[in-house]
Amino acid sequence: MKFLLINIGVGLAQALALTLAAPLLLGLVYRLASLGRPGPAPSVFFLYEKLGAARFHGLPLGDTASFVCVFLAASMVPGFLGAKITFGDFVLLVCLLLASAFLSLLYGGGEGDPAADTTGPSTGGSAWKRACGEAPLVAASLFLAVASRGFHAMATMLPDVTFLFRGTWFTGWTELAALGFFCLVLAAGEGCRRALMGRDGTALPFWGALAKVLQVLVLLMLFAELFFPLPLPSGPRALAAALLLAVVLAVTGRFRLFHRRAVLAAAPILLFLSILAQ
Amino acid sequence: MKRAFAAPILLLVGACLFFLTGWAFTLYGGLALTAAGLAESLLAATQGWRQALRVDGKRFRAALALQEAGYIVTAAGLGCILLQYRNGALPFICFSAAALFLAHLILSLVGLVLATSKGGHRLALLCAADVPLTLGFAALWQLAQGALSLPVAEAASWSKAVLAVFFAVLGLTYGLRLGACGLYYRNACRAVGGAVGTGGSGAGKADGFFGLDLLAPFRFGEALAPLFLFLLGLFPFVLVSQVETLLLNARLPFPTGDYVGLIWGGTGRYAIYSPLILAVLFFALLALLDGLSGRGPTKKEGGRDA
Repeated sequence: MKFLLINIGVGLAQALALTLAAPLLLGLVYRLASLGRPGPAPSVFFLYEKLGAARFHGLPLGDTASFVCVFLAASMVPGFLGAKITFGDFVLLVCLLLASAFLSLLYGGGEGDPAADTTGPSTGGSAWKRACGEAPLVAASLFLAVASRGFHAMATMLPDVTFLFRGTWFTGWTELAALGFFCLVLAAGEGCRRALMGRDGTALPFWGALAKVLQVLVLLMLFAELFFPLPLPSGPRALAAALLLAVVLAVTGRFRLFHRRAVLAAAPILLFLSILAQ
Repeated sequence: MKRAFAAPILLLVGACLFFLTGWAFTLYGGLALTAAGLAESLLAATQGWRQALRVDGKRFRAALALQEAGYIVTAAGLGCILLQYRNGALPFICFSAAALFLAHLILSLVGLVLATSKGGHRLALLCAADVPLTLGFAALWQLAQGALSLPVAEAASWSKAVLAVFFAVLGLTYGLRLGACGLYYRNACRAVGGAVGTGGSGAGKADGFFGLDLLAPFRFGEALAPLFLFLLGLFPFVLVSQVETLLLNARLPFPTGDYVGLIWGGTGRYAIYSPLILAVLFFALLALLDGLSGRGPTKKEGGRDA
């Protein structure tokens, strides 16, 4: 019982630390990514400014529930504080991330809510319609990621499915799996950037915006811990993954190569091939 | 419109007949059953999406039920494949997943019969979407564990292909289900011209049966099925006792550890799902954060705090 409580406490502390650090790390990524794009570059701390200006009182339950789902998922991420959380595994983490968007959809703001129904060139249509349309691709990618790591480790517990460097750094399947999951991270990162950067901070619900930012960081940490085939400690590996994300966002932005749906569609295909290649 | 359901229904009937003949209890029979189940769930999921776009509540719920039936057939097919490998423990993970899905299907159908609204109730949709803490998720979790034990039993390359296809279809159908439930709810709200209720500490503008709050009381008939789905999701004893017993006693080639307390939280190393701890943490955090943001003045539209 004592071990369980300590374990859960460490997990929640990890989630809190990730929540506090998420706007800084993502701000750094978007700052670097904007170097290759036209227009003024945002400050490293611009996400803190956005969150500071966001609506905090009288929010719909969906936004809060969405953040709680991502927060619990963040407590399960392996490697960072060495949390071995004992109330869930990779399948649960994946479903919590998917449920986060669903709860926001079901209990979020209504048609008139600017946070829920953003239309415009930067977002490419109604936010909830886009979320519904992308759900199958995101879910397929995440479930294939579970299968890819679960098949290799013969377990779904997150501390067990982390990348073990036993002579399997750069094999065909590890590269395919890493590339597939990175496509998912890339799509999530770009989606978060589009949702937050082009908008007035006062129109954002606080918990909803924080959930978006934290979700990208959780995916980034998962990529670093579970798929990134470089023999580095957890912290530097996460930073290297963030740097890679910034560079790819900058290059694709510079040459206008980015098509979010295409990247999202590539993720399950590459992960599918990685399982076959194992 | 009726033809739209013909393919999944025919697949379901064919799979049931095939199972009853006993031919499914071979390797190729199990593979055929798995393929039929996956195809059926995929067809039903796409139908669910179509019905969500049309805001046809009855057919939407029927498509969700057919998708559940597809999962049952898939789980039975995987169980039949695993039966061939003389490891009595492994198939039971899949067969108990099928049993849980069956319980979920029956409760969903009971809910459909008792429902007085058109199935647009948020809590009913929440339970139908197999999100964590519900019975549907417990069944899905166990089905995933059963599928992951396939390469343990069979090291041949075809098992990887089956695993890859299974997880691709499972993810796709799960995403389609979540997306369709959200789409149906939003479209239904738009169709009746009502705003979506804010719930929680928000303005609380509940209108009709669509704007009901998460914790607000609602009609008994509608409440019954979601309540049971939620309670069975919190205490899935069939699932817990079986998985614990299997992992402790069945000499599975997984890294063994302490699996005691799957429901209360333990130090398991293969897989763990402790719905009770998750529920306590989820609702405690939700209450805390909702209370935190609920106090204080509400903002004017698009403006700063008053």
